[in-house]
Order: sequence, then C-alpha cells, then structure tokens
Amino acid sequence: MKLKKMMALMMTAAMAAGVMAVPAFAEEGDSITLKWISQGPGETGWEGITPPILEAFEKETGIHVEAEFYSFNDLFEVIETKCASGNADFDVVSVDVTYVSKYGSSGYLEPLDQYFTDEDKAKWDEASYTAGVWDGTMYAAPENTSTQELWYNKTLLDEAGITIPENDAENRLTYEEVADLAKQALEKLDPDGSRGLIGLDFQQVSRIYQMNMLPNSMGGANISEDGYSLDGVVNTEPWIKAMTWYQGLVNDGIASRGYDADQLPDMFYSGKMIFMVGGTWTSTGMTCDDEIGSTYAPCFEGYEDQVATSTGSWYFGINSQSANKDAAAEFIKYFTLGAGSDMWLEINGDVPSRLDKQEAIVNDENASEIMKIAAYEAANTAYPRAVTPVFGEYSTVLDQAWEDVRNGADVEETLNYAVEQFASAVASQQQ
Amino acid sequence: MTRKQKNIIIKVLLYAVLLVMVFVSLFPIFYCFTASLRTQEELFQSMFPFTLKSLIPENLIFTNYINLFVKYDFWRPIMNTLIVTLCTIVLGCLCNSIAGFAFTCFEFKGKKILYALVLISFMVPFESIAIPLYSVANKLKMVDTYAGMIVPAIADGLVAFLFIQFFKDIPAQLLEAARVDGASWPKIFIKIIMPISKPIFITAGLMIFMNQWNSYMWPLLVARSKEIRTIQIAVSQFSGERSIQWTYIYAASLISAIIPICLFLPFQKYFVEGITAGSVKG
Amino acid sequence: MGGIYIKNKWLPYLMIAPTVILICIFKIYPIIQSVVQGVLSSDGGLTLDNYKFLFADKAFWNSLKVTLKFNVIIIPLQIVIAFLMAMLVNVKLRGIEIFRTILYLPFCVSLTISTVIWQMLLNINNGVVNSFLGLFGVRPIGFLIDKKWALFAIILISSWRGCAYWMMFFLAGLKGIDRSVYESAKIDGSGFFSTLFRITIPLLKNTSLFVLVANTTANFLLFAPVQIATEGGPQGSTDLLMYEAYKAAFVYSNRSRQACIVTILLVIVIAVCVVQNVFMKEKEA
Repeated sequence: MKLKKMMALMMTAAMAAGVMAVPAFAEEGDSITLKWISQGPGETGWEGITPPILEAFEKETGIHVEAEFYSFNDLFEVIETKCASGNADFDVVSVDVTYVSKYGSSGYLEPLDQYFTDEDKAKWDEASYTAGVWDGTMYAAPENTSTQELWYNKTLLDEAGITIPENDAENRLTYEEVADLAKQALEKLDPDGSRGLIGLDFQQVSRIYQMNMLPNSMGGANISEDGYSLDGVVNTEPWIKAMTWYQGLVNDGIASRGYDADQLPDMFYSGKMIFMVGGTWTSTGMTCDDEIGSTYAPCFEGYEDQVATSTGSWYFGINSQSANKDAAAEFIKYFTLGAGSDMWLEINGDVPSRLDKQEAIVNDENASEIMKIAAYEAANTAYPRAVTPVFGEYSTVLDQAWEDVRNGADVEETLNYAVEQFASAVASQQQ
Repeated sequence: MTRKQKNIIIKVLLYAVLLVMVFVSLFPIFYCFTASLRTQEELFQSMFPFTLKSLIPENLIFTNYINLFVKYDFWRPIMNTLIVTLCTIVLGCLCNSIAGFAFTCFEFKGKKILYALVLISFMVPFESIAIPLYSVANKLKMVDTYAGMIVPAIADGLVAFLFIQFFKDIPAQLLEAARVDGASWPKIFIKIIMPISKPIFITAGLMIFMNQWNSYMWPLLVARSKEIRTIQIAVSQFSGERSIQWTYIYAASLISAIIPICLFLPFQKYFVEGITAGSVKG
Repeated sequence: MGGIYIKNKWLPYLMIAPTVILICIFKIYPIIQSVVQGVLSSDGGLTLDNYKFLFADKAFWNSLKVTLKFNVIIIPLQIVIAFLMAMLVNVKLRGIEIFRTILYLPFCVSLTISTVIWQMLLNINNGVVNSFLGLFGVRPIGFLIDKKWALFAIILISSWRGCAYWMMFFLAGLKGIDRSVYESAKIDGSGFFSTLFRITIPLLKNTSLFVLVANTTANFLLFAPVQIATEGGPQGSTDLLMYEAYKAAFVYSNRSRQACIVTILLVIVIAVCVVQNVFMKEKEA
C-alpha cells in the first residue's frame, strides 16, 4: 500500500512538472534581443564579469543581450549541434581562434567584411586580424589575444639558492639554461623525489596551443600552406629536434608525465613546480603563498632570432542563420573595438589585440611587468596557430603525438605516423 | 572437520571476501570525500606522492559544501533534476511496463518488427543522434523546457526490454486464473502484475533515475537557462577554460551521488521479496 | 508468462502505442537520419565514398581492433563478477543488507567523476595504487600512459562502477527464484555447484539474456573514461570506435564519418546480440 501512496505522490509531481513545462523565454517586446552563446560559466568566469558590459551596451543602443555560458569543453558540442541542425536560436557566438576557419568554411558564420571597414581592421595587430580570416573572408573579430611567459617560483628558487640570470627581450634565457637551472634546483630541493616537485613544465602540456612553441622557436611551421598536410612540415628537423629535447627533459625527470593539462597548472599554483611556461593569467591562478615571478619566454640556443610565442584567444562571430545580423555586428564592434572593448580589457586583464591598447601598455609606467612583457610578445614574437578548416583533426593528431613523445614513444616514428594519420583523416574533407 | 566447523570457515571466508569488496567499493568514494574537504592548494600539495596526508586533510574545510548551497544555489539544480527524474520514472515505468506486458503476452501483427525497433532504439549511442534529435526537439518547441528533458526519455527500449525479460518469468497460471475470473486487462495489470513485479519496477525506476540523474549532454543542449538546469550541468560550471575548481567538483559530485542513495535506500526491502514470492508456483 | 500469447485485435496496439510512438519520434527517426547521413555525398546524392574513406583510414582499423579487444575482455569480466557479487550478497548472513547497500554505491557515482577519481588513484607519480604496489617493490606503472596498461585501466575504471550496476539485475533475478526450489534441491542432496549450474543459472535465463544484451550494448557504446583519461592514447591503444565516432561528430564536424562508424557499431552490436540470443536458446534446448 505504501508503494501506492508513493506512486500517487510521484504522479502529482509529474503533473505539476507538466504544468511548469512552458518555455522559459516567453516575453517578446519591440526592442531587439540578441542571444550570445559563449564560454566561461560561474561568477569568476565570463558569466560573472561581462554583465556590466552588456548593460552599458543596452543603455547605449537599446539592444538587450542575453548570454549563455558553457564550459570550455562543452561549447564546441553545443555550437556543432545547434549549427548542424540549422538552428537560429542564437545570434552571436564566441569562437575559439582555432575554429574560425572551420566554422567559416562550414557556413556556420556570416562573413563580416560588410560590417568592418579596412580602417577598423587595421586597429588590430596583424596576427590577431588574420586569424579571423579564412580564404580571404573575415569571419570573426578578436576579443583579445594571449601570449606566453616564463613563470618561476621565487620561494623555491631562493630555497635552492638559485638566482635567475639577467635577461630581457633581446637577450633571453635559453630553454637549455632554464632546464639546467631547474635540474640544479631539483637536485637541491628534492633529490629523492619524495617532495614530488616538477622542474620545468608547460601549462597546457600536450596541447598544441603551447607545445608547438618549441618547434616554432626552431623555425618549424605548423601546417602546410593549403592547411591540409603535415608532410614536410612536422617530419622535419625543427620538429624532431624540439620533440627530442622535450622528451629528454621528461626522461631526466625535469618535466613531468602522468598529469594532464587540467591538473598540471595546479602543481605550479600549489607550489610544486619551479618553472612553468604559461599565460598572463598564471598569477591569478596561484593558490599557495609562494612568491612567483615572470620573464620573457625562452628561446633555443642557436635560434635566438627565431623566438616564437603562442598566441590567439577568443573571437566573435555571427550565426549565419541569425535574424538580427546588423544588431549582432553592432554588438561585436562594441565589444572588440568600442567602449565595450575598453571595459573588457580592463576587467579581464588579457592581452589586447588592439594596437593602441598594446602601445598604451608598453608606454604606461604603471602597467605591470607581466602585461608589458605580454604586450611586447604579442606585437613581436606571436606565432599564429595553424590556420586550417580541419583543425579538429589537426589538434587531435598532434596533441596525441606530443603526449606519446612525452610518454617515451620514438620521436621520428611518432611524427611520421602523425603525418600519415592526418593525411588519411582529412582525405574525405579535401575538396 | 565437523559440519559446524566447515560452516564457520565458509562464513569467515564470505565475510573476508565481502570486506575486500567493501574496501574496493568505498575507497575511491572516501578519496573523493577527503578531497572535497580541502582547499585546492592542499589537494595538490598532498596528493602526490601518496602518504597518509593524502587521505586525512590537515584542516577539514567545509566551505566547499557551504558555498555550493549559499553561493551557487545548488538547491535549484537539485530540485530541477528531481522533478525531471521523478516525472520520467513515473511515466517511463508506466509506458514501458505496459508495452513490455503487451509484448510478452499478446500476439499481434507486426509484433516482431515493432519488437526489433524497441531493441534497436537502445543500441545506438546518444551522441550520434544528438544533432537530429535536437532539431526534433526544436521543432516541437521543447528547447529550454522541462518537457524537453522528460519526454524524449520516457520511452526507453532498454527499460521495456527489462520488463519483457522479467515478465516472462511470471507463471502463466496467474494470468489464466484471473482471466477465468473475468477480470479486465487494466485490472489484471494493476492488481496482479504490478504487485508481484515490485522489484522489477524498482530496478527499472532506479535505471531511469540514474540515466536522468547523470545525463549531461542532452540537458546541456536542451535546458540551458539557470531556472531549469540540472545538477550535472551545475557541476560543470567548475571546470573553466584556464582552471578547474577540483575541490568543488568533488564536493558537488559527492552530493549528486548521495541523493540517489538516500532516495533508494527505503526501496531496498522490496528486493528482499522475490518477484514471484507468495504467488502460485510456476 | 513467456509462453502464453493472447490474441486481441486492438488492445496490444493500444498498450504499446505510447512507447512505440515515442521511440519512433525520439530514437528511430534520429537513428535513420544518422544512418542515412553515412551514404549521402555532400551534394545530397547517394554514395559509398564515406565508407571508402573510412576503410582507407588506419586509425579506423586500429580503433576497431581496440574495440573488439576491449569488449571481449570487459563483457565476460563484468558479467561474471556481477553475477558472483549478486550471489554473494544473496547469501543469508548477519548484516548482509549493509554489505549489499555498500556494494551498490559505486553505481551512484557518475561515470565522469569515477573516472576522475581513478585517474588520481592510478597516477604514475606515486598515486595510491602505485604507492601500494611500491610496498612490494613494484616500480611505478603508468597505468594510463603506458600502452600495455591503458586499456586495462579503462576496463578497471568502467567495471568498478559497471559491476555494481549489473549486480543489481542479477540480484533482482535471484530474488525471483522461489526459495522452495532450493529447498527441494537441498533435500535431494544437491551440492553447491550442481545447484548453481542445474538450478540457479537455468532459472536466471531471462535475466541473463537481459544483462548480456544490455551489457554488450553499454560497453560497445562506452567512451567517457577514454575521453577523460586517455583521449584514445597512448599510441591509439584506447581509441574505442565510439570515441572515434564522437570525435568525428563534435571535433571534426564530419558527420558522414560519424554516421558510418555508428552504423558499423550498430551492425556489430546487433550481430553479437543475435549470437547471444541463439546461444541462450540452444542452451535451453
């Protein structure tokens, strides 16, 4: 009988929910409402920091922007599902730089050339602007960019009695030197490995965004001109040398294995890593009280003139199915060039794509050293990521190659296999 | 060795095996629990290499749990998920059990084909039908509603299959006797089939519960607004592009695991009664 | 009740209508869309090119091999362990209810989070498991980064939660067996094993068929632990077909490739289930 009662209760619940099952967005007025899908849920994410910008935009234009924030990994699934099913329920979309050409070539994004004048386009640095272009058409506008610096844990280095040699943009530390310093520090601080310290590692380990810096710093390219081949690009000396160097670092116990890119940065943040190549946001990630510092990204010995740093961040695009394209373009302009952009750069603290803002940082005496370095790198050493409509295949194949090399696979074999794998993966996509 | 001694040895062995299994089952959960009582800094400082410190936090911190409810309003997604889950259970058990009953006891034209459809429906991964399914939901105006999460999950081939397989074990005489007495079909189903199939209804309910409770991708696509989002989506807000708040994820995941446990404990005793217990022998 | 078939003109259709209609709208229609996608060319005509490209891809064949290896191990493993667990908690012992509840618990932890936890436990940098093995002088094993181990680590992670789940069905089946059957067997002097093979297992035929089919399906379609813990590596050793399908759809936006892989998976699953069905029927005869 009890079960019956339970059933009755559940039935009531079911009916109640049936009544509640009305669309959540029913209101519709005269004014335009834009829907923006983006990444970064939570109050410390974009969800928490963008509302003032959206409010200011509404005050100025009367256009209301409704934003949906998905976690980074989910955003791609959501965009793919919505776009592939021909959906028009959003207008503006945040696009990771690497997906611009893919979404552009798939027809998901509206061309932006009619909305942005040449004068507008010249306001961004070259690398940032061109990353939003595929096949001569501009599909996305840069929100900001990113760059890499060399971070170090001062507290640990002091404990080991090691000081970092003088260096600057023209006279950088080399990767070899840094590895050597890390090795010395480890020998002092953690000779038997019982503290679990890591010497030198990469914030986004086994992710091409950051790992490709290494071959790029030896003059290696990311992908063929047409964006469909790795042959003659990654099975070349710079890649083999860079990967072999990295594998040596792991084998010597200076760099780690077994932590993925979701876990590894926390080893630095909690004071268990001495050197880390990482983004400008590293300082805000710290969870322990250790003192940290940053300097220019290293270069390789003998390749001092080939310095390369990772770059690129988020872009704005317009859904090609949107019914409010003009309003969407207005919003994007506001957020990438106008007053919204000023606000954004202020709150988010990322590296600007706008030249005037980059210059302002370099000339501003009060600007932090971190941002000065970042602005310099963005303007001078930024090495664009592979531009290709098959970026998904590209990153899958090469992320795996980096991880395999890290775990001891033969470098040349791995790279040759990557070339072959990429070729067969994109064979069907190549027109 | 006497029989009594032998029995004692067997008992000791059984308990030993049970204890090992308990350890294997509980240790990872315990690990998750201790991780949820730390700050992120302490978590990564003490995890590797593994020592006693990895298991017992130096200072217990309950802020993760408190913040989940105070700052992140976890009540809301929990209630949403409960609503979605309970509705699906009730409607799902009802629809699928009746269909299962019809497939078990009736002969009708096209039965084989329809049965095959039911079976095939659960042999395809959700991820591969997500895109066409989304356009269906969109056409039916189900995006951003509770209905969008409930309706597509009601009919579940696997649940229907479960009912079919277990209904087969119900002695036929039970049914014959009722029909001789002239009972109507609804009456037979409610008065005879349902009571003796309690364990299977509970198993099916639990299956639907866990499917809905842990479902991630579909609610992500079809129920984004804060007002109706579900618990797994709420948990995902702690994994950001540049950092993951692991301690919150552990705490939130533990809460999301405890709720089904608490809800299903009271039903445990129904497992003790057998399906055909007390009924006519088969 | 399995043997009786009642004839009735419209009642059975009415009874199955809600389920079948909903299944057709929300499952079968999208499935057909998916399968058809596999034989469509980009301009909408029929073509087998998508399959040609797939079959020319080494990654696909590797993935097929991995998938078969994974399932040949995990399906029997999970079923046997789940069955033994169900037998164990079905014994009359003091406090068995508590044990039964505890053994259920892993199932309540979502697959995502259980993968995350096991990732920590299996970490090569002196994670719990390696520290424990270290006590016996075993050198640290890269469970998730060594191609010899990774697939087994994925099997372990999936089974920790899976066995608890499948145990539940066996237990429901065991509870359905009339106690008096055992009692009469006992009177006949039947030992533990002969009772097990001559009475328990045959009486669990319908339950077992359900578990077999459901378990086969679930494991062929599983990929969450791979996505989270290994991303198909090291060196492709955990690259399950379903993960390939997932990547094709959501990372490569190559829906035809996904459709082809899913169709192949569907054919494999159906074939395996048919074989299981035939096998079970033969045993009955």
